[in-house]
Parts: sequence; C-alpha cells; structure tokens
Amino acid sequence: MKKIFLILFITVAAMLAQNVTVIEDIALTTSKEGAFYYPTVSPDGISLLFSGESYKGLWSKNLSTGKIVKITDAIGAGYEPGFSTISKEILFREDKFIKGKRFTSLHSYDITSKKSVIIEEGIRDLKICRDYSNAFKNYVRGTEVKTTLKQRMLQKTSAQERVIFIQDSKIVLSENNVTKVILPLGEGNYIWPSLSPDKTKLLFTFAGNGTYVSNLDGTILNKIGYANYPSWSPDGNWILFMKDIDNGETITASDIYIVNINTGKYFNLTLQRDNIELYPKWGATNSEIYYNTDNGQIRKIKLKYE
Amino acid sequence: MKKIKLFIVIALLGLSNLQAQSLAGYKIFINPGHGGHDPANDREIILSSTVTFWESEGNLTKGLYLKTILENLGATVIMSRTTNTTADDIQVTQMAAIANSYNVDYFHAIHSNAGGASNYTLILFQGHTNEPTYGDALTVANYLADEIFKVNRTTKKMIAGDFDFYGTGQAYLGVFKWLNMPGTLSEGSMHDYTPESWRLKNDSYLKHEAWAIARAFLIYFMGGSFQNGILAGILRDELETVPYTPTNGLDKYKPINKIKVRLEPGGRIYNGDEFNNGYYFFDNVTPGNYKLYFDADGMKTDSVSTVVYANESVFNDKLLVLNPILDPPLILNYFPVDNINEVSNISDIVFEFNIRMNVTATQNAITISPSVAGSFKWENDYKRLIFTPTTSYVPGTKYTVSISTAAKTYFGINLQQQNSFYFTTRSKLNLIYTYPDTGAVDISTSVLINVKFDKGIIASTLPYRVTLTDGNGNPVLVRVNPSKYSFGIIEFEPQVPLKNNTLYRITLKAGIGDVENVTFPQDVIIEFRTENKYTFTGNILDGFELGNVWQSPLLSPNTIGIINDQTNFTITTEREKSGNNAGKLVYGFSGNNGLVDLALLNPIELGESSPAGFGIWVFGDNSKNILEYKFSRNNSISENVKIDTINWTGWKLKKIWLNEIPGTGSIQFKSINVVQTGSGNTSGIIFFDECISNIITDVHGEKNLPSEFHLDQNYPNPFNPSTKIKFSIPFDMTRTVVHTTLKVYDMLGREIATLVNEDKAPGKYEVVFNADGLASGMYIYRIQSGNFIESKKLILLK
Repeated sequence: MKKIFLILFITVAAMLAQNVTVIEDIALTTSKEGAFYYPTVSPDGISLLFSGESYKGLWSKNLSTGKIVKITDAIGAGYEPGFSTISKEILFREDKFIKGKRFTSLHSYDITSKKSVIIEEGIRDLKICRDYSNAFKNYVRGTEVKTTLKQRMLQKTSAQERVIFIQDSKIVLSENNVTKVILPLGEGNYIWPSLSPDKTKLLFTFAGNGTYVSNLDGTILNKIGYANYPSWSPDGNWILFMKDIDNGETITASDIYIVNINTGKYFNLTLQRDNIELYPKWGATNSEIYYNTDNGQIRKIKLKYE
Repeated sequence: MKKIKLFIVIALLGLSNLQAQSLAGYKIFINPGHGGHDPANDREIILSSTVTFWESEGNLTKGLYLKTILENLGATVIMSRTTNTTADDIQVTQMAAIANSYNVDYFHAIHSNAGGASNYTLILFQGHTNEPTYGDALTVANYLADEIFKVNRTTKKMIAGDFDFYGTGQAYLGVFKWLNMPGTLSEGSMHDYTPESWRLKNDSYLKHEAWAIARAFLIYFMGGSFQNGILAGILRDELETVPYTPTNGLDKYKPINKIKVRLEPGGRIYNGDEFNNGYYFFDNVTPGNYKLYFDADGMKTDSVSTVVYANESVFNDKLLVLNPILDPPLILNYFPVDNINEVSNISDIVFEFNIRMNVTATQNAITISPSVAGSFKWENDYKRLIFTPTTSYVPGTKYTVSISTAAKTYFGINLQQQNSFYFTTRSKLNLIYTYPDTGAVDISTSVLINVKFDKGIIASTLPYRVTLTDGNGNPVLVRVNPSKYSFGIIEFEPQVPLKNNTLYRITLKAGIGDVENVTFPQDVIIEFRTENKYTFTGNILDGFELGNVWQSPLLSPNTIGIINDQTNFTITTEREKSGNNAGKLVYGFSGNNGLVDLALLNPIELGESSPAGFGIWVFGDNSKNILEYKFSRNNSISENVKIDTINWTGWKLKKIWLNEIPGTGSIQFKSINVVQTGSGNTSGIIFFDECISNIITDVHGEKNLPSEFHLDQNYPNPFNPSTKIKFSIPFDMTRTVVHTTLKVYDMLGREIATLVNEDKAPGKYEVVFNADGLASGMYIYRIQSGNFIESKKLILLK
C-alpha cells in the first residue's frame, strides 16, 4: 500500500511540474565511431539503437557498459526498428530493391545470442506498429495487421491490440482486426502517428499544418504547433518534438522542445547549443531524451522537473 | 504453313509486349522543389516588367505532367505538393517522412538551376559521385542526364554525388538525407540563362522534360519504352537578334511569339505563347513521315518534312523570313501627350509605329526644339522608337517634337505627312507630404520623420536646408537615411529620443534640388508636439531577441494576398526599443485586403480576463494599414482584435486591456497581423519589441487620468459669494500621492484662506471658495503640488 501511494505521489508531482531544466547534455558517440542517427531506447532503458546515413545499418549501445555492437548493415534497418516488449529482441527491417521495386523482410535479433532470424520476407509495403516505449508486436503487410509473436508461433492468437499506422498518408486505427481510417483534419498527408501510453489519445503531424493531439475519433484536443517527429513521454503528459528549419537544400536550424499538454508550457531543451538537433526520442523515463545532431552524433539530455 | 503463321503471330505479339510500356505496381515520390514563391527557398527571374519566372512554378508544372505520364503507365505517384502555395510547402523532414511511410520505391526531386552564362543539365544523388549511398541512384542519374539533355538541348550534362558536389564529404542535400530509398534530383537546365528562362515559361517545354524523366524511369524499371514520339522546335526571326547576352548558337536570334504550327497528316495545330521562346511541341505522335507548316504574324509561311520515331524527340528549328508590307507607316502613339505641362525634365520621347521601321532614316527624321542631346533605342521589332535625353531639359520650357516624311519603313515606304507635338517641362519641386504633418500632436519621441517631394532629391542640395529644432530653435541631432532620396523622400530621425510633450519644428528651405535640376521654391515650417510621458509596469514575455520564436509569415496559412519575395520577418539589430534586437517585419501586398500573419511558433498564455493589459512596442511605418492581434480563448477559435490604424512612426506601445478581448476563458496570444486596406500602403516595414503582459498603469487605466498639472480659472468669475476652482494632478509611476496646497491671498500677499493642504492622488479635483466676509476686490489663488506652482487671479464683486 505504501508503494502504491509513493507511485501515485510521483505521478502527480510530475504532472504538476512547471519548470524543466536540462541538467546535462552529453555525447554518446564520437565521430571516430561513425555518423549515427535516429536513436531509439529499449523499454527497459538499457539498449540504445541507432542507424547510419539514410537508415542504413543498425547498431546497439549498451547504456550500462557503453559497448557498441553492430547488428546489421542492412538497407533500411534503421527505419523504425523496435524491441520486443521485454527488451530481449530487436526487430528491424531490411529493404532490397529488385528491378527498382522495394521488397522488405522483417528480422528478429536476439540481444543475448546475437543471432538474427527472418520473421517474414518479400513484403511490399511493411509498416511497423510501435508503442510509446519503442516496443512492438504488430506490423502491417499490405493492409493486414499481423503480430510478430503469432508469426513465430510463440504465442497463441490473442485479441489484437489497438495499433495505429499510416496507410497512403491516412491514419489507420486497428483493433481486433477491425480497421478504421481517421482523418482529424480532412484529406492530406498524416505522418508520425502514435497512441498515448494509455492508448486513448492520438498524436500526429499533419504535414504543412502542424502537430495535434486528438481523441481516437479524430476530435482535436490540442494543437502543438510546428512540431516535427513528435512522441509521447512515458507518463503521457509531455510531447517531445523537433523544430527544424531548412532552406530547400539543407537543414539550417533545429532545436528540441517538450510541451506539457496539460498546461501548454513549452521548453526549448537545446537553446544553448549551436548544433542542429534532430530526431529526439524519450528514454525509459521522463527524465531522459536521446537525439542526433545533423552531423551524426548521438546525444543524451537529462532533465530535472521542478 | 498454318504452324508458321501461328508462330509469326505469337512472335509479333511477343515483340509488341516487349515494347509496351508499363510501370504498374511501382510507387514513385515526386518532389517538385519548394513552393510558395518564398525567396528563402525559391528563385525568381524577372524577365520584363510584367513577366517573372519562378522556379517553383516551372518545377511544379514539370512535376504535374510527370505525375500524369507515370500514372498513365500504371505507377502510383505521390507528390510533395500539387499547388504553389506556402501552405503546402513542407519541410524536408516532413517530406521524407511521407515518402518513407509510403514505402515508395524511388524518390525524385525536380529543379532548374542557376549558372549565369552556362546552360547545362545536372543530376545529383546522395553519396560520393563514384560511391553513391544507393547504387541505383547513380544508374538513374545517368539515364536522367541522357534523356533530359536530349530534350532541353543544353550545352552539356553531368552527374554528381552531393558529398563531392558540395564538397562536404558527407550528406548535404536535405531532400535525400532522411530518406530510406534511392533518390535523384534533376536540375534540367539553367533558369538564369535568359533564352532558357523564357523557354521555361512555356508549358510544353516543361512537359517535354517530364517526358524525358519518364523515359529514364522506364529504362530503370525495365518498363519498356514509349511507342510514340515527340516533335518540337523553335521558330526565330532570321534578322533580329535578342537584346541580351550571353547566348549560345541560334539563341542569339529573336524567338517569334504567337506562332502557329500545323502538323500534317492529322491537322494538329500548336499555338505558341507570348513568352519570347518561339517553342512548338507535339507529343504522342505515331512514328512516320510528317510535314510541319509554320506561320507567324508578319513572317512568310514556311514548312519542313520530318520523320517521327518511337520513344524519341525530333527537333525542327526554323529561322523565318519577314513578309514585305508596302503600306505607308502610321504613328500609332507618341509620348509625352500633346500640349501637356509638368513633364519630367528627363522624360523619354516615344514614337510607336505599326510597321517595322528603317532605323537610320527614322532617327534622322526627328527634330526637337529647343535642341537637346540624347540617344535612340528601338523596341518591339523596330516598331517603337525611344529618345532618351542625355542632359535634362530646361525647366519650365515648351519643347516641340517633329517627325518628317523622311521617316520610312524597313521596306522603304515613307511616312505620308509630317507630325508635331508639344510639351512643357516642370518648373519647380513640389512638396507632397510630411510626417508629422504641421500641427500634429502625440508624436512618438523616436519619430521617423518623412518628407516627400514629387521627384528624386539631390543630396548635395540638402545641407542647411532641412533642419529639426525644438520650439526654442535649438537644433536636434538626427540620423538621415539617404537611400530614399531617389524616390524624393528625405527620411530622418532623432539620434536620441525627443522630449515628451514638447514642440518641435522641421524647416524646409527654398533651394532643395531634385534630379532634374529643379528646386523647391519657398521656405516651409512644420511644427509638431511629442506625446506625453507614458509609464507602466508589466512582464516581458518575449523581447524579440531570439529566432525560432516567431514563425515566418510565409509559412502561416493565414497570410494571404502578399508578394512573397517582398515579405519576411527577421530578428535584427537595426533598431530596438530595449535589449539588443527587435523583430523586423517587411511586407508587400499584391493588392487590397491582404493579411500578413506573424504568428508565435507557440502561443503565449495570458490567463483570464483582468483589468491588466497586453501590449507590444511597435515601430510604425505610417502605412495606414491595420494592426491586429490574434487571441484565442481556451485554445479554441481565434479572434482578431483591431488594435490601431498604423498612422505613426517611431516606437509606441500598442496595447489592449484583457477584458476588452471578446469571450470568456483563458486567453492565448497567437499572432500579430497587418491587414491591408484600400487606403493603406501595399508595402512597408514595421518593427516589434517587447511583448508585454500584465500591463498596469493605474487602478482604472490611465485613459481618464490627467497627463499634466493644471490649475483652471475659477468659475464664475467675478463671483459673489462663492466660486469653484478646478485643478489636475497627473499620474506618475514614481509616487502614488503628492502633497498639495491651494491657498488664497490678497493683493498684499497675505494668506486669506487655505482650501487644500494634504496629500493628493492623481486625478481631477474641484474645491469651492466661499468669500463671505471678504471685501470686494482682486485676490490671488495659488497651487503648489510637488514642484508644480501656479497662481491665478479671481475677482469678488459684491
């Protein structure tokens, strides 16, 4: 009982927090190790994944030991990789272009044995359905939602979870094999959709317009504004995003922000840095954020809520 | 035999299938560059006073044609934009996210390039030139370079990886960097090579490049080849050359406008445009023998036989010959208008003819009296003659212009009768307006003074002829902006802020001279009074010190009716109310009712309605446009609230009380709007500094409080036995009350009565003086409030 009270207290304290300060912003990779992008942290907070230029290859860094391991050189492997829910396996894709046509295979990499197996191959339009913690069990082949567990016969078919993905620039919500198209702002290009940790709200970007939080029926709850690559904090109270500006040729400026969706208060986490900061992701808690710089350095921000 | 026939049929079918073109099942992403006429990422080439080429327009047209061609081949095509507005002009990271989420097979960006004198085709991809990130991108780049080079007929073709081309050694081009598939970017030709700029205004020319890109894709995807071909070419005048350089090959000859080309057999007609490219184009032409017939106004009809091949473009350029005209020439128009006064002292004299003229004979046929030196030039196929004086005409003088019958056409036919007309030149420089106007009050202490004449001003005539002094004649040091002299505008501002509530005087002396050697005839004095001192407390929410706080108005969907390359927002050190920087909004409207929306990237929460105010220091441009602030309540529907008409220059705090904002609930400040009205200027520059909330001036607002000490004359006067005396104590943030006495004295200086002797808050007061028991006569009442002392006389008449 005492434990539950403590957990409740911590949750409420985080919700009411008004000021956020960056207590450290440190490099996790060096230029000698290579140029890396798109960091993603395992649900248990131990493994950090990142990719190379253009999503080529996949590396894992053990955040306890600091050791970096190359998992694959595969093309596309760095695009939306994820973890099994218990953080023991890494799931990633591999793209092959045959006569110019993209065919994708889905791989599972066992962190302990360091061995990969192919879950499925020859997929023409693979989509991966991750949750806020970068774990995923489901993917979409064409329009069919499939579970990685079922595919590998490790678990009997169970009720399919609520998942979200983009199909032809539209948001698709799937639950128990029933899919529903959601167009909160009408026709257009929807990108970067995600469900809140409690799976009751939807975060998405409407290209050229802004980032929003809506109900699952598409009713808008919050407009975040110009906010790219948004993601939910582990407690569901904050949205993390980047504000990148380009001149048509290249990105000229970018900072990383968080906004409290209850109070609307914004914090620029990289204001003091001259770098171009991109593609931020939450760590396992609200206090850690990982991102890459434009020239390919992976960094970690530690936050303090007051 | 039957068996052999069957075999032949099968073989023919097989051949047919081999040649049939298809991209069914492929997903291709097309990015026709950035859009929205945003000078930050778009390129504009001004070709004439009425014609402009925007790269965004050319790219989009090519992209839309390519989309149609590829879709007709069965491909799925996703485009990053299908219109040319700021709203659908997305960032490269968003574009990559769309392409990635679609799992497209290939990405291609369409551009044109800038290279000055050269006109070549360039294809870029990610990686080193010899070591691309995706090998397929190098393959496609070669196909694209070949095909586009062939149809645009540029001087050369090249391919390059962005690591090497930009010399970065690592990923540079944002369109590739965040993709997870191979991609290329084609710079089909150079939009700043003038003949090419004009060709890029021709829809068919753009379509031809789309066909070339599609041919390259068919090769790469092994989708067969097009079974029909294309016929195209350029018609030019065999004699006349273009008035610009550099040119390559036949580009030196002037292309013919409004051509008509007929393709036989089939009778297809191509009508050329008016964009000085002479281009014609027929696509989807079945292979075979054809004849093209060329027609153009004033030119002899011509023709050529040609052969069309499958999946190829065949070109037939022609130099057309003039058709002789044996009619006498007519003068269609001339300038200046006959018998007109106040003509510019450097005005051109223009004749327009209906037929191409003989240059030497026509120029020699013109006389101007009194004589003036000058030079001739010809336009519009030698039909418009322009004389430009090399020295100014004499001010206030009547000139006679004549053209004799010696003038003749290109074909040797003389003008039938002599023609003459007259004009009189300007005699004096006129003052159009000043800001401030004479008698103006409430002028900002940092006023930007603006004096406008009807002609460009010569700087050397200004010293000692334009001065700013205070009411006592003491000079005020000013900073002058000489960049507007050529527009007849003298713009200057005090080096340090003027004093509040003080009279100032602008003096303009006779002798100010303009670019036509005409002078201002008389002295003019403009007097104005500065605003009262304004004090308040508040919280600064944004000091306009940092970027990434305000969104470019070009990115706001609420911005409408603007000229993109004349509109931008920057943080600048150019001027500031406080701190080091201010926000600078430069805007240009394309007509009436435009709106510039300068929005916060993240709205500012102002809380609930309260007596407190919200305001921004605004350095106005006296444009007469409307300043509005946009608020929402409870993050719902936004509402624009008019703050003021921008009829001032210099810094002024433009505020609104929160309880004046319509609706209920918490208030969010979202943006600053400048709205063009019919009477407002279509361009201007406004600065902003310090967004301030919780503005408190006094308990009830400063509007009802006096701005200065004042002692009124008693009323009635003379009086018997009582009279009222009114006085005012102004608001001052440095104190809440001031000790005040109001006493009455006789003429010998003896104190008769004390009416007030206490601390008084700012406000207006009235006291009654009862003179019962006093003798008739004159008395004096005297107020002392802080340092303010004033006396007045009153008369008791019994």
